[in-house]
Amino acid sequence: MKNEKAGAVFAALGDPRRRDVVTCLTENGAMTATELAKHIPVSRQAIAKHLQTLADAALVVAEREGREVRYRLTPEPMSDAVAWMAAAGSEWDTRLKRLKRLLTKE
Amino acid sequence: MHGVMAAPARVTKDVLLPADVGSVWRLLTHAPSYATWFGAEVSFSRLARSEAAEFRFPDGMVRGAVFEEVVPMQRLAFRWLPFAKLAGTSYRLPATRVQISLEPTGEGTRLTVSEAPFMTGAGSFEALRSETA
Repeated sequence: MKNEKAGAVFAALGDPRRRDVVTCLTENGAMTATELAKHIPVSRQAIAKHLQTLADAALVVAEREGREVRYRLTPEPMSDAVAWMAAAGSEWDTRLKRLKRLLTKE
Repeated sequence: MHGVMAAPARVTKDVLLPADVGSVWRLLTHAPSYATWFGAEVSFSRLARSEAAEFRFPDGMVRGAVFEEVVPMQRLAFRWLPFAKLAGTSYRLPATRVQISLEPTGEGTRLTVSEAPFMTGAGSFEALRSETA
């Protein structure tokens, strides 16, 4: 995996809301931003932004069906396990930063 | 880019903390502190080998783990259980082992965390539908 792509994937999956989007698409297949907003308690606009970030990381693709745009997960660029590992790495970065901040305050 | 990994993979991170090993160890062994730094509420009755812990994440995900190694001031290791529950559904997840090691340095403590193995196939992010519904 090229570094810049890996970076985009890490960033995309580092956000819990975007992981919600990925989970939702895993369970339901292709969905519109409006449908996703019914499952995830944020605005349609926020969902659209998250979808754009996921699309930039090549984790979802947009497909036009008539007047609707549906988003589906791409089997590439990574397997589920790699995606989970990317998310885990990103979470540890955040945790270690918080731990450092906590100990700096003490 | 390929979608399949050829070998188990590991996440390793480290940080230099501005505190002595004792202070860091106190945080790692104090369940209520996890909400501040780990990003989950953690409960365990006893921090010892083979004891269980439960992690509750802000998105509602609940995941268990078992402590595998507790060496005061040096090392803490736990293994995630191979599933998590979210909104009534169980998800199969990698049963990775997390090891946190502490090493005193002149300026404080170096903390190294490693999580592995992330295997392709086994433990993929897959819903076990309705099992807990």
